[in-house]
Amino acid sequence: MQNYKGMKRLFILTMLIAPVWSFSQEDEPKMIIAEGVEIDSSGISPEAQEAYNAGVAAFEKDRFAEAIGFFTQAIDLAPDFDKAISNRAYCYLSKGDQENAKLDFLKLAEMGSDPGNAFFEIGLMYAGQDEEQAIVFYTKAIDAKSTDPRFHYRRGLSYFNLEKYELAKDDFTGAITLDGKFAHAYNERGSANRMLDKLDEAIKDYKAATMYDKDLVIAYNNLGSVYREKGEYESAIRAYSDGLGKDKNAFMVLNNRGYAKFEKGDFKGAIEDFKEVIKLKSDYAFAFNNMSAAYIKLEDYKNAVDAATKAIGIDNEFGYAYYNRGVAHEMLRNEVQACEDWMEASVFGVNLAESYFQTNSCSSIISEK
Amino acid sequence: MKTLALLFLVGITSFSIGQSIPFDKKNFDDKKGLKEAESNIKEGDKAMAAFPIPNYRAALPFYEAAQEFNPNNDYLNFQIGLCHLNTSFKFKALDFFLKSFQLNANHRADIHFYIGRGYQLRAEWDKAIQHYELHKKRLDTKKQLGEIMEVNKLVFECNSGKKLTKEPVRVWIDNLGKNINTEHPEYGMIITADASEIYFTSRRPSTTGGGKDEIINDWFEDIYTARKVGRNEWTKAENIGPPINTKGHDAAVALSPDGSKMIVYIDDKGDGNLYESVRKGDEWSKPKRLNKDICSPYHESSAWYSSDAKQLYFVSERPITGRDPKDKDIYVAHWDEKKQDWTNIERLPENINSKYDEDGIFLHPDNRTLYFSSKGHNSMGGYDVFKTVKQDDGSWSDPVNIGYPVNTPDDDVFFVVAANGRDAYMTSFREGGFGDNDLYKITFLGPEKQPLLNSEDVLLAGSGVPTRTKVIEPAVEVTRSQVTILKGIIRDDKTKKPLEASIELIDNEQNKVIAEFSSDEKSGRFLVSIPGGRNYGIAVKAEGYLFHSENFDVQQDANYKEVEKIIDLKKVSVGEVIVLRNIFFDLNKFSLRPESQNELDRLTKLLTDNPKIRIEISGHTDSRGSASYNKELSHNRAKAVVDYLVDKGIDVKRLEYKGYGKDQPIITDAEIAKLRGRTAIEDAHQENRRTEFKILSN
Repeated sequence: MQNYKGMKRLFILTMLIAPVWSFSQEDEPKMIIAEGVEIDSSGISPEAQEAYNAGVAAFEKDRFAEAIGFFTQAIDLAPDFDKAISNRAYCYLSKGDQENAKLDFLKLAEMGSDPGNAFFEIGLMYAGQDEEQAIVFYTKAIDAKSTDPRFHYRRGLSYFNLEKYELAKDDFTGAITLDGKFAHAYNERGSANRMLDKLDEAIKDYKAATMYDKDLVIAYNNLGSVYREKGEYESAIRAYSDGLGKDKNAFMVLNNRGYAKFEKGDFKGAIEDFKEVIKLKSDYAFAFNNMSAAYIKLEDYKNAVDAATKAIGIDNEFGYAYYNRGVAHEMLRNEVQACEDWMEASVFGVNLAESYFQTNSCSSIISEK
Repeated sequence: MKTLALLFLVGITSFSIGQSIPFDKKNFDDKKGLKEAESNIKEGDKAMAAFPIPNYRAALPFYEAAQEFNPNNDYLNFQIGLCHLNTSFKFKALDFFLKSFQLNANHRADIHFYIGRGYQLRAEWDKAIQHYELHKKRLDTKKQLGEIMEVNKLVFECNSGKKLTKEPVRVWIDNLGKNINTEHPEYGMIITADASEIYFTSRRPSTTGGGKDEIINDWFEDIYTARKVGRNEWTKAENIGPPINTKGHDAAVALSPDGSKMIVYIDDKGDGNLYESVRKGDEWSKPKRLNKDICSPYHESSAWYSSDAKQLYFVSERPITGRDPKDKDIYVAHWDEKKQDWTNIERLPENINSKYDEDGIFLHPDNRTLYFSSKGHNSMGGYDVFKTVKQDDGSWSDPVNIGYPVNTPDDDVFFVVAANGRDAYMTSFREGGFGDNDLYKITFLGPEKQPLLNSEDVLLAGSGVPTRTKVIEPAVEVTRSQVTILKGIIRDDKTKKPLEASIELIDNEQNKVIAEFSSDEKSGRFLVSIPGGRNYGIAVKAEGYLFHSENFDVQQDANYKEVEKIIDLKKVSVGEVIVLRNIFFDLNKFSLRPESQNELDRLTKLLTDNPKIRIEISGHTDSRGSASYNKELSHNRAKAVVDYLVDKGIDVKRLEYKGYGKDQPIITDAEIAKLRGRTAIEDAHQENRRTEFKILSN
């Protein structure tokens, strides 16, 4: 029914607008509204509304440029047509034209038309690019409308990205206060607590996140990782397994479970998990590297070298893989290769490898080869 | 029964209980063989009785020959075990001691001591301790105090060994290979700082002079050298020859960091002293004995230079008041520049020099780290290698056992470390070697290198939150759908070129201009949205043109409606006629309706703007009604317009008027008769009912 209505509107607008557009673009006359032409209760002329509706229809078909044209027509006819301004702003966003979108949102805010949302949208534009600016606009949004949990939540994310975890935590708490079942906010607060080294509080939050969104795999994963950080490997493995119960293809979670098994000392179990990860994502270098680590612990150095080599094949700047292959080579008494791998690893930022390069007298070993 | 229980207690399970078979005629049919075996035993015993120490190496082959004839003799098994314990293959000793015990538990009162030694050498600590404890129980605590103390020391060693072997250090231990090691003893390796060149001592048939030391029945010591080739290969070891090597014992002791000086040990008929030789090119000078402060009347066996050659550490057996003169300790001599000699001898402190022997010293090129071997401290048996570091205040840290498997239950001595700190070399007797002591390279791997893993978490679920819930406002219900669009083009009547003209849109009912606008300059087009359900007048004027007016009705309709007007403006010129469509009269009357005012004002302005023109106002009716009536009505209506103009100040001389009645229809009756529908017919009549003006002159 909704579609039918939409079609009907489109038809009317086509009839209305077609003669106008039948003129060449350069001769296009401006529509004059005679006095006494009926307008609706919003104070918007029907012509503006029709143009607006045509814009909506175009937007729904992802014809953003055309939609912008209609919304502009509507705005020309009714400069205070806030819905048209808003929709045009979203059209600009859809086209990636943030500058014009921002101008429209600022206009909306100036008009007093849901300024909270307008500022919020501008904040979103800055998010990930300039978190400080994002925070400025989120704050304006909150000042305009403090009851929207999204505003607090998003500002929390920006603070988190700026590593201001206490402030982030406060905002996530604000979001939770406004929406007690905001699972994502619980997850993010858990992560803020984790970064603040408040692991027990993080566990509570992650658990709440999984309670309010039973399919939030990320929260199960994070719960597992905090348990792992605490050395509670059984609990970690259980949490990861719960996450995998929700999404058996969550290779990252599977990799982390393997890691937990590794730390628990179950190297064979870890290798099984890493192998499963590789089945799910054959180019996941982390899994190959982790498998190499587990083989090292099992003193199966040849397989350790092979796995690390595969990891390097996927990512030839993978410092950890070079490091591990170096460890395995050393135990195979391939000292030259070990030294060369540690040298590579140190190039890619593994300080420990640099240290081993020194203590193992690698310079002389390589020169003696 | 007591013996059996004891066997189980100490874990002797691999041998069946048997009985010793004496070398007695009644036990053997092979009398010749028996005689030969007895002869071998006698020769073995003879070697074992050598002074000052038993010649185990000489005795062993005789005993082994006899053993082939009779392997089940308690005495013979014990003697073979004893020989092994003191020669090259110490590990073999245990089996023979155990068999001797199995054949006759009472053959030796001290058998548990030897079994304990055998187990200790195999690092089977608990079994060794059990046998030592059994042995200790048989000792008289008053008369055999010295032996009890010796056993206690061994038990202490075993306990140290238990601890040390629980946490082995990570090393590779590699035999230096056949170019260096032989079945003969190699030991006392010394190296240049860069470990490229080594010197060591060996007892080989190639010894200078080819002589043997009769006391030990082995070759005289000589010094050999080899060079490193690549990472782990060495050139074939060569005897460095005279003048350092002599016909007697010549042992390598120390090498200066630059390899230019060597200290050698020369037996000096049992005194044992340190000599120094200087290298010039490839030649070594004849060794010169170090001064008397160093070379005491007692035995000096080991030494090492500090890297700045200002100090010489050495080991001496010189007596200390109240101590066993046989106790080897570490001393240090200082180089006196004025005297150009070593002076100021100091004994290292008690925390270094234990009450047992120290030997085999090596000072790392850092001049602070001293490695030495000791039978004391927490050795796990024989000499173990220890490490101590000189502190800033000059004291030495407590020695630390460098750990298993570098150290073993047997002697581990002459430990030297390359400058890199990772590679070391030592003398050791290990299974799998070439025989007797061999030289080994120790590679310290350091603590276990923990592999590095990768884990990644998506800390924030934020990316999945549908933040932009309000993507777009929905369509709106348009409250008025009766949209009428008036569109049109203004043109020149003759050329049909577009004109920019002023347009007024008048709501005739309200007599109100509801829109004023212009046609497009280039296209002459206009577009205006107007309310429906009304009668409109439209008036168009452009400079140099006569204005145009007309009126039209827009029905009140639910549907979209479009009205198009193409208006051709006539230039102001004589003869041109304009219909004044927006002049209205009441029905059958000639009084002007108020809504006519706009049109009349436009006409007034035309006349004002063009003061030279004269016009005729004409009235026209439709064809219905009588001609006279229509004429009169049209005449009066034309006059009413003229009156209005005059009233507005237009000179009456410029105005004429006339009523034409129905004489000049725009649409003739014949044409009307062809029309279908009431509205069309009525519209045609309406078209004919009109007021016009015509330009008479300009």
